[in-house]
Amino acid sequence: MAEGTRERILEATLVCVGRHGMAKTTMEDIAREADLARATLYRAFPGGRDEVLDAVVTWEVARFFGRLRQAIHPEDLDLPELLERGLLAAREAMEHHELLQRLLREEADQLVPSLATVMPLVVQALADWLRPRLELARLRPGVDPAEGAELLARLALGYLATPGRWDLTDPVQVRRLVDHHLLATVR
Amino acid sequence: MGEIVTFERFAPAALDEAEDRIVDAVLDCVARWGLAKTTADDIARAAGVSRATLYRAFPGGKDVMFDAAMRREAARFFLTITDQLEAAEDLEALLVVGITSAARFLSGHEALRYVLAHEPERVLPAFTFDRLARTLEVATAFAAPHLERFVSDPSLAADGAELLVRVLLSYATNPSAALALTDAAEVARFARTYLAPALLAGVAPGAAPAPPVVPAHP
Repeated sequence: MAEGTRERILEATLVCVGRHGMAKTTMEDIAREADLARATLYRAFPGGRDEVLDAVVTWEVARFFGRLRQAIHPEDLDLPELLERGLLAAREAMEHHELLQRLLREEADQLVPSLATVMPLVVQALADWLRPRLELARLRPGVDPAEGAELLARLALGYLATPGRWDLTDPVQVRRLVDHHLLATVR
Repeated sequence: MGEIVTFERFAPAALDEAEDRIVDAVLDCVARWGLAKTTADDIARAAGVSRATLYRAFPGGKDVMFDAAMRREAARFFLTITDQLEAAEDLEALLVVGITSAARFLSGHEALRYVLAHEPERVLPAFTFDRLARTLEVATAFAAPHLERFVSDPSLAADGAELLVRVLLSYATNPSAALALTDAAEVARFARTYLAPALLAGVAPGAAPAPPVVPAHP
């Protein structure tokens, strides 16, 4: 399948989900929106609706972190900066992601299981951002950069999704969180 | 921490003998057929009670029974690990027993396992995003007093408890190739290397951080 076709289908799916929600989006809606034959749709996604919806969640998560990367330029940041700027920017992007917020309010039962299946990949991707910085940082004896990066990625994602009593729009609090809780695990 | 949350506030009212038997039956049925397919008749049959008895005990029907089962299991979980936590003689032992017991309880819970595998939409939303905040509060309130035995500052103990609960939830819901939560030796190394130092970090003289001053639900 041409990458362009897949992309076109996912774009269309996102539009449909925005319009009807996840539960009510059908393969017909997506085919119409993408201006493709249903057969083309099923060739691209033999698993049908469930497969397209899982794929669109994965795709949008990847785009979310792609935009985050462009916003903060992780390659120019050291470990504390990356965590602080990353948490602030990601939380803001999350709060302003209208579709995400609406789905969390109205269709969490549809969205969350899909998101859960992408989580291992997200943890891995974030750990890959963090690991080179850990290799350069002064770590406590025994701390393994890969294992530490995974732990930090998990914690950062956890606080991002559920800040609890932390206000992740406040740079002062984010700095304290990063210093005293996240980085305290590795250095 | 803003509003003080105590674990006791969330403990369910004690169930009487019939209610307890019904909850056992709910868990048996859910482990076999899941939440959607379990009927009130299934539950009555498994509990060996009449439908009338069932509805007298839980007038709200199936969802109320599921809710009661969840609450009782949470309470049972906290009770199960309390004795073990109290027996721990140092921070590392506390972390190891807390993490491995919690992981064993969760992975050995057949009803929970069935639902996570086949009906994740029924449970996962309660463990992510805003809805996790309450679970975090409850679990943190439960764990903090145990940590206070080794981390004397209560606000640091509360922060540390929250961190631990987050670590546990992350590794339990999304298993890592690097850490098997039920393996006491692996967890001990992990706790010693990453967790205990983080919990004690704020205790070092001159390093005590001010806890964040924010409302419980910003």
